[in-house]
Amino acid sequence: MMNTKWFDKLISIEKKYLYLIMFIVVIIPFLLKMTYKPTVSPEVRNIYDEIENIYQYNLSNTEQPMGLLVTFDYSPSTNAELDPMTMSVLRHAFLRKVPVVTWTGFIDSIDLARRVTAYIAKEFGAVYGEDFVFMGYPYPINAAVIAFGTDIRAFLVKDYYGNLSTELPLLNKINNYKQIGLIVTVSGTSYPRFWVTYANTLYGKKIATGITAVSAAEFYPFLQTKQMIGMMGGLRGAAEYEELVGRLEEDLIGDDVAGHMAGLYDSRDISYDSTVFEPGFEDEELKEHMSSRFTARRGMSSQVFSHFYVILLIIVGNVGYFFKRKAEKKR
Amino acid sequence: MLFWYTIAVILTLAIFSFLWKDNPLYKFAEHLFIGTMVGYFVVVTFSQIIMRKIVDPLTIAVGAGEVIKVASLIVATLIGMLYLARFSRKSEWLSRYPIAITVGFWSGYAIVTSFKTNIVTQIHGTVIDEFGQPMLNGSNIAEFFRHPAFGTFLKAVNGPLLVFGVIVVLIYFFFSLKGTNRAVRFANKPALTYLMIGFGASFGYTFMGRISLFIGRINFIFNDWWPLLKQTIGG
Repeated sequence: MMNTKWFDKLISIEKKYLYLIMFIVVIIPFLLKMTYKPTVSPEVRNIYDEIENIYQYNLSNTEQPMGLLVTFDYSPSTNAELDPMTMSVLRHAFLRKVPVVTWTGFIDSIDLARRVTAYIAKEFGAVYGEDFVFMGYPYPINAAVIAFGTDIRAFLVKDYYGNLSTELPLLNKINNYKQIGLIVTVSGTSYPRFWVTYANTLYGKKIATGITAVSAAEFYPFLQTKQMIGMMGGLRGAAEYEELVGRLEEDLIGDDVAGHMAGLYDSRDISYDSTVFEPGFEDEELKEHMSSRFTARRGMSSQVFSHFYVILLIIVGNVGYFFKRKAEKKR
Repeated sequence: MLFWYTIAVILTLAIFSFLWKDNPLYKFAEHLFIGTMVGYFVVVTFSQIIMRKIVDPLTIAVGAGEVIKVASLIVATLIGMLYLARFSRKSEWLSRYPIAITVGFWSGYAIVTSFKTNIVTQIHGTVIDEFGQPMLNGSNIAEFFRHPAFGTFLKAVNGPLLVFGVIVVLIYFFFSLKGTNRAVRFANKPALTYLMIGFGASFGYTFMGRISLFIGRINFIFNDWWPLLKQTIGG
């Protein structure tokens, strides 16, 4: 029988055991309810500052405000990484009452984009048609990007819910790029490059992106050339934006955000469109909304643990390989 | 809500069970996913494309008596429908018309903008830094020698390293020169170093991305499903 050396064992650990340990490593921070306090990078800070600039502009231009176009250019397969980004950006916009237009560039994300937009709008009592609109899937997306250069109402005659675009007060104020202060494309694909090619190069619009970690390295050159003003890269970028919006929310609302949300609809005399969202929160729903404010930061704790685990595996694998080669040379 | 959340948790675990080994539960979840997606696509394509892009604009234009708009919508729809001609060998050639229009239109739009976006501006970014200074700026190097510190060092080497990296990597992929050429031989090792650094950064990010997907599911199980289950069982 062949005698297996210790270094052979090191480099041939069965994959299923490595996955099992990874599973344990990832769930520990969740069980311990650990969160991560990120340092905000300049590329994330720039997006935040740009939305703050739109808010400042709108304070002195109430009749002709600037809006934010948030495009959900991702499919549900990457929502774990990208949902926290869209949620944080939308929270920021609604906190500052910046008008928001959302749509999705992916046909399989229509429901996801609708749900996330309505989910966040509900937290701030935003009124559909006045504070935000969801335009569904503007097929074909490349034609929609160009159509926004003239009048998007001609290209999209109805919104997702079937309302005529010309009857939506928000779209009567914000219907082309002139009234869009920033385009935020959140994507797991090369869509941001496409937005830069048309909206930035053709119309000079400011573009910011939220991108999956896999694609982040591809888009750094666009930051240096200022074709993009900012970027949230992967879960880390999402955690950074979450942190910034968390601080802003605390400044504007105070410590008791849950209490504020619970009483949000009590004294309001506004008739909300129930096809968009039902006003008011049940206890469990409220907890879920509060929990969603920490999704990326909680996830980053697991991310840190899993990175240490992989670094350890790389070291173990290399040590095994090193000694195996040494033994082979001796022979 | 708990019922559907529980189904989602079971399906998540079924998909992850593949990491242990292939099994019928995984196969079931995989087939269910594909079937659901196809059904979803069919419905959504009808409601969001056929209805929104053809029926709605046509109805509105007819109601408003906009004859030119109605005519252009009908003509465009008919041309678009020529794509379906591909299903028959006899009429296949007709599908070339919508393809020609689409390719022609988008080539016109894309060629100049893509060239400017991906080549002209990027070359500019390789030569000029974000503050409008040349990348090979001697004053940054002089500044480092005047005030030696980590910050001034980074500023001094950043531009030259970037320009040097771009040049050696371009030479590395310039296959018109033989491998024995002096420039190619010189660029070989530094270019590989640059490429390895680039691949390393991409690998790090890729790993982070893949783990994030897993974290997303774990987050769903522990922070959405589990509290809901506890609340429901606890009354």
